[in-house]
Amino acid sequence: MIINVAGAGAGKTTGLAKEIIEKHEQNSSNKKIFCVAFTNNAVKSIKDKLLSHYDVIPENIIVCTIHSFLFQEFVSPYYYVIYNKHYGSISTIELPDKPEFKNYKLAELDRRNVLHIEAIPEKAKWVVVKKSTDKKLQKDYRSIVLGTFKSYCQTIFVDEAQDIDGHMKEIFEKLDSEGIEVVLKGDPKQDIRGYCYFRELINARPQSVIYDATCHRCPAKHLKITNSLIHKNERQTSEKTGGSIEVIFESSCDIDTLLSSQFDLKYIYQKNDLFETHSNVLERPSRFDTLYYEIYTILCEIEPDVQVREIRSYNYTKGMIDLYNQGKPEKQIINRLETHTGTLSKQQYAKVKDALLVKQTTTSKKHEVSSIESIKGLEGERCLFILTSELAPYLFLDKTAENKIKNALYVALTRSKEKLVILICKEVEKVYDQSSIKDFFTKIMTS
Amino acid sequence: MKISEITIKNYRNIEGTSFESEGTTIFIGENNSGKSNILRALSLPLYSEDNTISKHLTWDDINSKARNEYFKYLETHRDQIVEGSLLLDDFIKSIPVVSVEIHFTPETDELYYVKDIAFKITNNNIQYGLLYRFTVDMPSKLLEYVKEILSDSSVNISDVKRNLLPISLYTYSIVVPEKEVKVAYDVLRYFKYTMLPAERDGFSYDNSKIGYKSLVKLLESRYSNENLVHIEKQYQTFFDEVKKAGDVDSVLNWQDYSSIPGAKDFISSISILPNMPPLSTILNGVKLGYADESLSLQGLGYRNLILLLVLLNSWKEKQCDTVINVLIMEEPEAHLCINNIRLMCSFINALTKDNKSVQLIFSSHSTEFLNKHALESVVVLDAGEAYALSTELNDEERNYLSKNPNTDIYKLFLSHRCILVEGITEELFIKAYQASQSTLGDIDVLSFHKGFTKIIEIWQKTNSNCHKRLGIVRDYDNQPAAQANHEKYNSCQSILVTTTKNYTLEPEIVKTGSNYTLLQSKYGTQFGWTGLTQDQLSDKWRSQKAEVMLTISHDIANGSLVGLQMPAHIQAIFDFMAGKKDDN
Repeated sequence: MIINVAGAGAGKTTGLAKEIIEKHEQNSSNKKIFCVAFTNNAVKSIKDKLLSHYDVIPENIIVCTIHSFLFQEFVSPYYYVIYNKHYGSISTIELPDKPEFKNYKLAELDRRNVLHIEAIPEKAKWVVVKKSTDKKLQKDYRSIVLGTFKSYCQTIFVDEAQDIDGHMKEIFEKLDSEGIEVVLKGDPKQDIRGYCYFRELINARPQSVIYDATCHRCPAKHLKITNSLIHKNERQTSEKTGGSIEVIFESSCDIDTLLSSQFDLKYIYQKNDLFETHSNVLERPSRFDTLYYEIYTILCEIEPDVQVREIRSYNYTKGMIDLYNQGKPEKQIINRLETHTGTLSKQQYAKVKDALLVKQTTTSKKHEVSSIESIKGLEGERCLFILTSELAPYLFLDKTAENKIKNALYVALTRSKEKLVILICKEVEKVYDQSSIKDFFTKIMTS
Repeated sequence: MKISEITIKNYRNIEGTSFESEGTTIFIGENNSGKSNILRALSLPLYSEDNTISKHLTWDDINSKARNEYFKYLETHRDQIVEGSLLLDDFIKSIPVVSVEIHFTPETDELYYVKDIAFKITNNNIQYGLLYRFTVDMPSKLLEYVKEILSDSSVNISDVKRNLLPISLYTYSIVVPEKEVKVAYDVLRYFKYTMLPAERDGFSYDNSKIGYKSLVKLLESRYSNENLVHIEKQYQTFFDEVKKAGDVDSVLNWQDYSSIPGAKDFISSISILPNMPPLSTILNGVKLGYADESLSLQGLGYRNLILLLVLLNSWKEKQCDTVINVLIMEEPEAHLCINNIRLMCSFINALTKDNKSVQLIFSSHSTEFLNKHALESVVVLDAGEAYALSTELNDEERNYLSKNPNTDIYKLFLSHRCILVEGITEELFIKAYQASQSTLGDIDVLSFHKGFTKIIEIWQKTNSNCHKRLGIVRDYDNQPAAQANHEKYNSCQSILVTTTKNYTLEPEIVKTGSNYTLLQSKYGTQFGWTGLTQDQLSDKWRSQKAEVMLTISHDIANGSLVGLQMPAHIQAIFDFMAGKKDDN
């Protein structure tokens, strides 16, 4: 396993594309080179980079999201072979927050041979690594499957490896132990979900870690702040001179004017009374999918023909959404459904109602900015970072623990190519007064 | 990659058959045995570039026995159906389903492409397969419909068969066996077939004809990007010429030439622009020729040869988007003279050796294609049942057949009426008798050397249907044990084994009826038989061997030896062939 730790702005995507191309040129067989990323945007940007080199991406380079990789390469072809069960489709419906409700829904989907996207890594792990209930047969089958996979897999590149979860970590460790080349690229400092699995891998295999300390994005000035926060192995240098950092206090500025001036990125750790964020990370499942799912569930008991059930579910869902969009009250809409299905049970009624009224993005009077999570991987000439009281103690070095809050702070400080404006919220000023904040920045800048 | 196993159910005359395959597969069988049907069935789970065969079947494609069982089921369950008390699950089981399942054995470097059709592990190997199924996908609709029709008690089921099993409710799907997952188009297109049906005489004449698309595709694949740029430039030149020659400008831009004042104020310039067709469209205007002449002017045999060579060539280079290309051919020998058949054979052998992704499957009536060293590639068809020699026979049995000097062994599997004899004298004699009769023309006489039991076993395995008959004429040779060992097969209705009472054939002929007198008077001086006793004559004849038998046989055949009586054991065989079997 090769672990490549590269800080923000190190040109990871460009470097990754270069490595893939080199690997492809060395690759004399027709084995596959997989490159997995965590978001569709990341997949697209890697593909774009490859396309500036090739007319068409060669057939044996496969760039996809990690969920697609795990499903297409392991779950879909081999889960049935080992466990005699196949997932016919993937669901992205909204899962309840409460674990017991969530598990109930996942089990319900599972019975229907539908796999929820969130459950893909675990199922892939069962194919590649182990399941606690495995018998000898499953173990034997697994080794045949892994042998088969190995016969056509050249290398797996993982982009943004700090985002891997526990299942994925076990999968890549297993593939590595089977002699498959795995290259993880990432930055543990940007692990803003606080999974820590990438950090664990780095700590467990120091001999496989390569650090890339160059930052091509931020001016050296900006790095002074971030370098004060992080481990010396990971400190970065930049050739870029110039750039600026400006500190503004909410207490002494006009927010509307500030926000209406030109910024490429505006971000905050979490939404608060003043700022609203919209999550771009996971797209909300549509009302249609969620409602369709509930109606389909109800029809399972009534309609034996799968085809007919699907058609009916589709028609009812479409009809109900049309009525909803016309502004009809939900009671009337659900009553209409009951004319087809018979009276719904209390539970069914509640589920249909929830699905029909599933929260969609609402508009509010608050200022709209991005969450730090959503701007990960992005960069801009001018960036506005709104410093709130969660992040402040980490910036001012009162807290030094390695966790997702500190990682978010690192991400926030490394977006700007030129000018970084830090807006200090009133709540921060309450704890750290203006003059000591000013002193802090002066000291760092002149050190 | 190769096809390893094939299972077909309820397709045309194939009620249900399953057989293994190892690489090139040759189907042999008499006319109407189901060769073409099996070849067509094989195409159903596979993908084709030019959709030679529709995957949506017709009513008649459903095996008639399966249909009739369904109607019988409706008859017996009519009351329940009308009452609405029949369980849907039970009804579903009665609906005829056509299915074709193919299993594959991929090469190591193909494993990635087949991963989506993996369905189980046996003997430490992952099994891969495709399953085509033609079935009613909304059985409740069918049941409802059937109920409506049958509720009218005056309706007779046999009068409304097509309504009780409406083909419009049928759909086809291609799934992974057992796993029951629909195979996506992206995956299916790795598994191609190309079909060359028996009717291919119009080849390459126009684009509706067989092989045309393959030809265009073959041509298309040869153009580099550079060539394409060159073609576009040339097209522009060509187009400019067309425009100039037709004086197109004055027609379109009438305002420039018009005398109406102000015409130009409204319209400034109308132009026609080249709309260059895609390369395949340009190539569609091409037809094959031989030297300067259209191919259609060539002889039928020559046309077929060129067709096959062009098509086979198109697979020579491995196509990266294909894992297997199953080339299905009906009678590659059609219209070819013997030299060209041999040319074709060697070409086919070379092609399959070089290209691992091409698998040949064909039917043939020509012994040239039956390589005796590859009997495992032969599948014998009989009334819709397939028997692969690779599984029906063991290595020893196949070797036994391969070692036999007779090149006509395939007749053993094909002929309706087959008589096996011990040697050339018997063969001559029986064939001569056959020629002298006017009604026994469809009997094949094959000579084998000893050891009929093995060949009987083999014949039984590939001819389980009783309408075929096998007769065996053997010599006694003072071996009562061997006789008993052979004659035990007489318990099979379609086999008759007879043995001479005397040591061999000659004394048997001599001692039958008045043959002794007849032979002596006709051949006494010629063969030195005058004054010999029956036994002496028999012994002398035996020692004289084939020359004498040839003369006598000629005379029997041309009618100059009238009155010679067939020995009882041969007469019994002829009676058996004509349909009589004595059960003693």
